[in-house]
Amino acid sequence: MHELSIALEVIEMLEKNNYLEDIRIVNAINLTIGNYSGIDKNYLEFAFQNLGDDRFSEVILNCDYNETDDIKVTEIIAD
Amino acid sequence: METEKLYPEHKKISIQKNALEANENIAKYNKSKFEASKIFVVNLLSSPGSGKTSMLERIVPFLKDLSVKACVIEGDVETDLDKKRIDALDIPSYQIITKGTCHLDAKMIDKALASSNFDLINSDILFIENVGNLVCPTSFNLGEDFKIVVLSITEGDDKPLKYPAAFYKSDIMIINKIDLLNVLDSNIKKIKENALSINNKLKIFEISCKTNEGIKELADYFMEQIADKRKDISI
Repeated sequence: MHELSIALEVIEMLEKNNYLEDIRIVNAINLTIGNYSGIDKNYLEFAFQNLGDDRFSEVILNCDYNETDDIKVTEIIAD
Repeated sequence: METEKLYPEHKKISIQKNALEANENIAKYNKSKFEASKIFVVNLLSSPGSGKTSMLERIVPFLKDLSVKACVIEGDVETDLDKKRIDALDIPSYQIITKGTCHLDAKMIDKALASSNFDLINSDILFIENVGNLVCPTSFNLGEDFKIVVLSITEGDDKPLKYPAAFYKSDIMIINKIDLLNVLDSNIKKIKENALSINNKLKIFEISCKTNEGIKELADYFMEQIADKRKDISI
C-alpha cells in the first residue's frame, strides 16, 4: 500500500510549493500516471481520502495514462 | 481532461510537477554524496525470499578477495536477521526497520547514511537491500546508480509481466536459484523473454547461491562498474 506514501509525498510537494495556500478543500487532482509507475488510481484515491487530512477527504483523482514511469500532478481543482 | 465542464465554479491551479518531487530532491542529495565519495551504489529489488541476502553472502567474499570494500544497508519491515547475516561477512552494515512501510525511500537512506559509521570515501560499493516487494520500492529513487531486480526461478516465468514496473525501472536482472532448474518446470528462456519484452536494455545474469555458479561473472561486472564510476568522476 505505497499509495499512502505517494499521497503524503503529493501533499508535501503541494505545500512546499505553496499551492495549498488559502485552499479549504481540494475537489480533484489531475494526474498523469505512467503504466510503469506501479500506481493504482483507486488505491491512491482511497489513500488521499483516508489519510486524515480534511482538505483531501472527498478528493477525486482524474488520471491520464502513458507508457512511462511518471507520476505527475498536472492540476488541482479546489475551493 | 475537461475540467472546465466538470468543475465550472472551482479554482483551477496548474501544477505540472513530479508527484514525488520531495523524494527526488533527497535522492539527488544522496546521489551527490555518493558521487563525491566515488562509491558505486545499487538498489536491490525483489519479492521476499528470492535470495537478495544470499546473493550478498556469496558475492561479498569474491569482492573482498579483489580488495573491494563493500557496505550494506538492509531494509526490512521487522527484525535485523538479514543484517546479522551480513555482519558475519565482517563488512559495515546498517539496518533500517520500516515498521510496516513496504519500501525504502530517499529520506530513510539519508538518515541511514547520517546514523551509520560508513566510511563512504574509502568504500567502493554500497548495496541497498530494499524491502522484499516487487511493487512499492520501484516508485522511490534512493540516489542509486543501478536498480537490480532479483528473481528466483521458483517464482515462475510470468513475474516480469505481472510486476512490470520493477523490470522496466531496473538496469540488471539477476535470475537466482538456477541450481533448481533440474527439478522445476521453470522456463528460464521465457523469464528472459518476458523481462526483455518490458525492458529490452536489461542486462541479465544467472546465478546460484547454492553452487556459486555465475557469482564470479557478477562480481567481475561489479568490478567493471566500480572502475567506470571512478573513471567517470575523475574526468
